[in-house]
Amino acid sequence: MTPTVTVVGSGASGVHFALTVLRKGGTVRMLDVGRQGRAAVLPDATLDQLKHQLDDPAGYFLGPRHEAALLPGVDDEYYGIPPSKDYVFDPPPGFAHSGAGFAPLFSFARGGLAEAWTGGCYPLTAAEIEDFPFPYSDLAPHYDEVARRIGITGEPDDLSRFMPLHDHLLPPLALDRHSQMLMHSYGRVRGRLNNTGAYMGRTRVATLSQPLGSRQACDYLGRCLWGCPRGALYTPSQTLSECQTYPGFDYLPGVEVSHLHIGPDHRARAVVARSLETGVEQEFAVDRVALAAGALLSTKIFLMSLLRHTGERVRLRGLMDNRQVLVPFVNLGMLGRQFSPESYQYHLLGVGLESDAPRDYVHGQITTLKTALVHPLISRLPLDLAASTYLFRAIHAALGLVNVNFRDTRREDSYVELTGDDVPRLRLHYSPDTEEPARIKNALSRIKRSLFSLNCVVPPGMSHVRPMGSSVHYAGTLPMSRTAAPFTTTAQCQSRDLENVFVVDGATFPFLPAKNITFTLMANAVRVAEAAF
Amino acid sequence: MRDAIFVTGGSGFVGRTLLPALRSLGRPVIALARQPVPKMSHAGTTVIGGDLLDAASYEDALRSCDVVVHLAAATGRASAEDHMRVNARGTDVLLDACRKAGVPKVLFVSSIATTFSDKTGYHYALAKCLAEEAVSRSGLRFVILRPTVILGPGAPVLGSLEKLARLPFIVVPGTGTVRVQPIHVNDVARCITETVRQDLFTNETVEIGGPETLTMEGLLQHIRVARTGRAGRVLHVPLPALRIPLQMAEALGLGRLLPISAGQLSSFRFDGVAASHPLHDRLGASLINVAQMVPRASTADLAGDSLNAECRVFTQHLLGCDPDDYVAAHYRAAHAGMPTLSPRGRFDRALLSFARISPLCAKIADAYASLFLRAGALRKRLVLLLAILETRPPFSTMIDQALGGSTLLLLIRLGARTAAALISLLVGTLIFTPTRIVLAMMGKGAP
Repeated sequence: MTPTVTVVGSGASGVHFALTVLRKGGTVRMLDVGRQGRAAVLPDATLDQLKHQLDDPAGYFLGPRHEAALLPGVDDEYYGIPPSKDYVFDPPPGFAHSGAGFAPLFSFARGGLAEAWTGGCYPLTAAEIEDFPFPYSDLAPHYDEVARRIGITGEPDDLSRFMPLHDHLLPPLALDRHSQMLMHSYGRVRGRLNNTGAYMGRTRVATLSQPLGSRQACDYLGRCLWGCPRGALYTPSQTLSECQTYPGFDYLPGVEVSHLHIGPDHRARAVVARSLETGVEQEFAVDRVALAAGALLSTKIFLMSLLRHTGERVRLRGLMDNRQVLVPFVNLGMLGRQFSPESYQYHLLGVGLESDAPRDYVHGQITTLKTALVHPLISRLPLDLAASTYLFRAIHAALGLVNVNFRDTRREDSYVELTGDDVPRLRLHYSPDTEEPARIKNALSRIKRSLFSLNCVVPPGMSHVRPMGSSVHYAGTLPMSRTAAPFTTTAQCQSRDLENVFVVDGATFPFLPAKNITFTLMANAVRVAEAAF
Repeated sequence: MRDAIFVTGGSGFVGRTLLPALRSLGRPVIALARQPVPKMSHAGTTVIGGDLLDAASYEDALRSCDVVVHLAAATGRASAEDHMRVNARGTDVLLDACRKAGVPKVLFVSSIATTFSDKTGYHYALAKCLAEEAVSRSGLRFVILRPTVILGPGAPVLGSLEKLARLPFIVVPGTGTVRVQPIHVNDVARCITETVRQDLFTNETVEIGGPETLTMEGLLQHIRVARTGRAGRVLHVPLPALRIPLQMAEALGLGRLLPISAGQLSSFRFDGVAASHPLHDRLGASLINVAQMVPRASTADLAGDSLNAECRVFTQHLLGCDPDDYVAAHYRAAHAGMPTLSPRGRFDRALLSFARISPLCAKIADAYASLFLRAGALRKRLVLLLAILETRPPFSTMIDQALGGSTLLLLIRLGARTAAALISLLVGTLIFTPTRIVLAMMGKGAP
């Protein structure tokens, strides 16, 4: 029997879309490459205990081929992805793409890219969804629902002006000493900073501060980077497991969807997928399809479907991603102190920079350095490594990083298309807008001034503008729009070209605010499932 | 019955080989050791604790002995005082005790260095000469054996020669044309055993050497090939250019930190070859040649040994301690799968070779590379090692441990470290900038 909806992809959007349809009594077939990681080793051990108790700690932390040892001279963007999360980015055989000005990451994992995320959950403001063809009140209740499902910690504070409050907010996680010191300093200079439009406060993260369902609360093992063994940090595979408890859910991993078989009525008849095991192509008959493979892969499936149907190679404009700039800093008050590895490792604090236009809001996440592998940092100091290691021990606990995010808009000269090869690949082209350098300069200057007033210094020349594609917040290729036009989607994310195809991931976002969009992706997927199914 | 053999220096390099060999004589063996060594007892030897200079600690034992084999000596970079105290005065004390205890025969193992025509500053040779005189004047029946350079597994002198042979250029003090006739430690042990077995206490001095004579440069080149798999270029350094700084450093009390003593340079100045002697043949032909003394390692062993040694030097540079087997195993394994760790070009290779010599050399080369060759093989290997170390206790704890203390203390420590790093950088720049230019001018493959 043909299911109510066939979902492609098991990422954050796909699983929340599926769960909503299932709860409404529908049936769902989910097609997925579905790469999986291994179960967490020694789940009760702290990070330090892990080093002592594992037979082969270097194998665990660096990987069997020492691939996580970051040697000098490697110019690729450093993501710090540990071997335990390699599976998240493991592509199916033959997958390739090309691009200019855009270096994307793709995930084929069970749970998608958010299997390796850092849990930031920031609701958009009404101003930020101005371009979306529906009122804020259509979205807000679904933030509440997703928060109820995944568990988000945070509290009302100075950042609430940028991040609306929603229901089901859990108490925030415990601050490490360095973060406490930053908050204390902020308390002293708060008025002055606020006058410049800079605000600081607690982040919202999908990490449990108290148990939720079968998931345990964070107990500060310090292993966040390598994969939370407690399930306290939410990942979409947890919701996938919940979907699998519904009899109407049919999960088919091990297949790579290439395109949709389109009928003469411009409706998708079937999803065409290749088995990774046998290489054989299969067709899965569909009633309705929800593309949720992630903005870029959903876009590829859409383009391939049009190519197979009409022979036409279409260029989809409006590719967006958040520009990220990494600003390392040294908190002078923490010099010479000991860091505590037994604490939450991702950003506990956030910083918001107000702008004249609310949509130009700049969002920063502050991470204090604790248990990350430190050899990549030590090797950057301009001294011999023995002296650098010695020096590093004095500043380790004082190091922090602000990950500054900038909004993006849809522009004609940033686009996605297929190459002309026999086996077409995705080609991405990105051109930043001409005002970007000035925007970055202005924001960095404000961030540095703010940090300085918090007794922190930013080492000159160390800030790093990450290449486009690094933030992994891709959007804008099949935007929702109020006016009907080819290659757009309706307010319900329904394709205007292929009538029974819904695009429920970031591809439909007509604007990309500075915040991590994953929370909004999930809320929007729930919204679409509620409204259209 | 008085038939036991008394051995001094039984736990030393020659002694460890001699004691098992003496057992073939079927006579009791008593070894004098400052600290009891378990392995010596296992060899069927009675070990008595005592000090060569304290006759009371062993004179009772001597009463049952027919022969004393006197091996104990201060060697290498011991101070002038120690050479005199142990090698000269120690021999006097022993001979006195022998006479008092009625021991009739003594075999003294001296050194070919006593034949060098100029022993100025060579305290070891001077003390051995005094000891030889004491033995010949002792009134006991004696034989003095003067072995040439003794090689074999664990030979102390091999370590020093290896250091010279494994430098980027083989450093040969002097012309390198002096002749040497290395003898294997097993052959030395056999000569001693045969002297006792055949009772050849003829009151003579016999020089003993191996079956081959070669130049010092040839020996260093042989060691180079055996240890690294390939020959190297030779750098001759005039002896005065080495002797004067060595003597100055020794005068400042830094002798133990030096790779070689000023006196030991005599070995690069005078032939160390055994004169023929009728007794030599009766002691048994020396069979073991140089190729067997310093066997050529297999390719896999070479690579593994070389990486182990490198891992040790680099860990000492990074953390001031030795790595454990686990770290070394990971360091070796990583090299098998990461071609990027191989040096590219002559200068890259030269920098790496220099860094391998010692932790200090590693620091100097690393300081240079930190500014001028960040992506070279040396930095990659050091960063890889740091990555392995930071995952493995106790090294991980050393890296994670905050450098605390009061602000003033912290600043002083950091200032001192930074100053040392800058000095290393300065020295590295002075050494490697011209080297890099020269290698680049020599063309082909230089970066």
